[in-house]
Amino acid sequence: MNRVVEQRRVYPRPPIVEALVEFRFAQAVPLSKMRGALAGNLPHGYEKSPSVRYRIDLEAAVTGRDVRTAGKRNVEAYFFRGRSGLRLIGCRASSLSAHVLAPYPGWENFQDVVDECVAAAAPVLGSEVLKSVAVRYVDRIVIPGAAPNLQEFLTIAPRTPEGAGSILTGFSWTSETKLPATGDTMRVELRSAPPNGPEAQVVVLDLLAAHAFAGAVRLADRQLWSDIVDRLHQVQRDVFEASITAETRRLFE
Amino acid sequence: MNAYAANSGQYPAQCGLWSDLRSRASSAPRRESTPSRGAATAAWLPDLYVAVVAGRNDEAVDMVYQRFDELLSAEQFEACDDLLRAVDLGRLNVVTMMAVVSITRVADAKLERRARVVDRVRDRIVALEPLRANALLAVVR
Repeated sequence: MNRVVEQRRVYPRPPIVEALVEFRFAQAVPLSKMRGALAGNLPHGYEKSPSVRYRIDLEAAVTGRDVRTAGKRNVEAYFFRGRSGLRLIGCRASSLSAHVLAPYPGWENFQDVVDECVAAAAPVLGSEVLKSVAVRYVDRIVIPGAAPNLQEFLTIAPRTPEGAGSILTGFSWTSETKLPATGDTMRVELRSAPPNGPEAQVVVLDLLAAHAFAGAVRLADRQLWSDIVDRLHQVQRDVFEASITAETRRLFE
Repeated sequence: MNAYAANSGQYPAQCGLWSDLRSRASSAPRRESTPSRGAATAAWLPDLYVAVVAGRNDEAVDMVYQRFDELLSAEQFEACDDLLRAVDLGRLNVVTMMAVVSITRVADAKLERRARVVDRVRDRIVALEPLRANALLAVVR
């Protein structure tokens, strides 16, 4: 069956709350090395000392009826915030990411943040071989009405079985598919989120398009991955348009 | 199985930063409870894009002049630069793009980002208004 994809649209009020491009390295790269690479080379306009995201690791030992637990706080990621707070460059073990937050600045400006991220990391990490690259957009869609029929707004809205009631109060749905022509992976996640008030329902549409490199493509080989990033961006856009209805498009205008 | 699929679990829902905005987990990176100054500075942009789409050019141009002028008059050049980074030229028409370029012209030497914006405005004008491009580009810079 041929899939009909809407032509590219530009919305005055897009629902994008965050967009990111993430590079994953084939070999483990210590977080400290990643942090050092960025801290020393980020251009003017980024903070020099990053925000930290921690991860709590718990261990439990069971001996007979006794359970002993121990917890440790470990750094999971560092984020260097741009002066405005609307663009960030992050690193976690073996991955590097460039983020923009709402209001979405457009693909051109977003690509500049990706370029800043790569340029800063390249002197230290440029020769690292990439395992994958991903483009991810998180959309927060506010649908008016206390109990709207989501089928009217989303082509991928979940259906409920007869007898379960028609008012959908919470859901989470994820699919992961492979695009045969390119081997790209597309993950679509749709979930309910806390509403702003009683007269609206909020859904989060989280789209991630990723490509796993077959050959030895390095971070510094921009010409080898930039077209792929463009393609992943376009795939993500097409899936977004295919996931929403004309009713939803009106919400963004 | 490709390498990505084998590790797809490494892209959890909490991978993005936005989730931190609504998360109360203590492990989230520090983040202001109110929007940053930059976010507040850019918060009016969706209203600008709406005015452009609606064809309310006078209103859109007024918005551009007023917002940029506030920052330039206060000599907040870095904030003005951040605003130039935040404006999506793809959602502006020629009139509004020209307004952005002209209001910031006075501070060209102090705005790191402006040269890039001017280049992109040139490219867009050539694409959108090929017949008037020369006349329009004469006043850009």
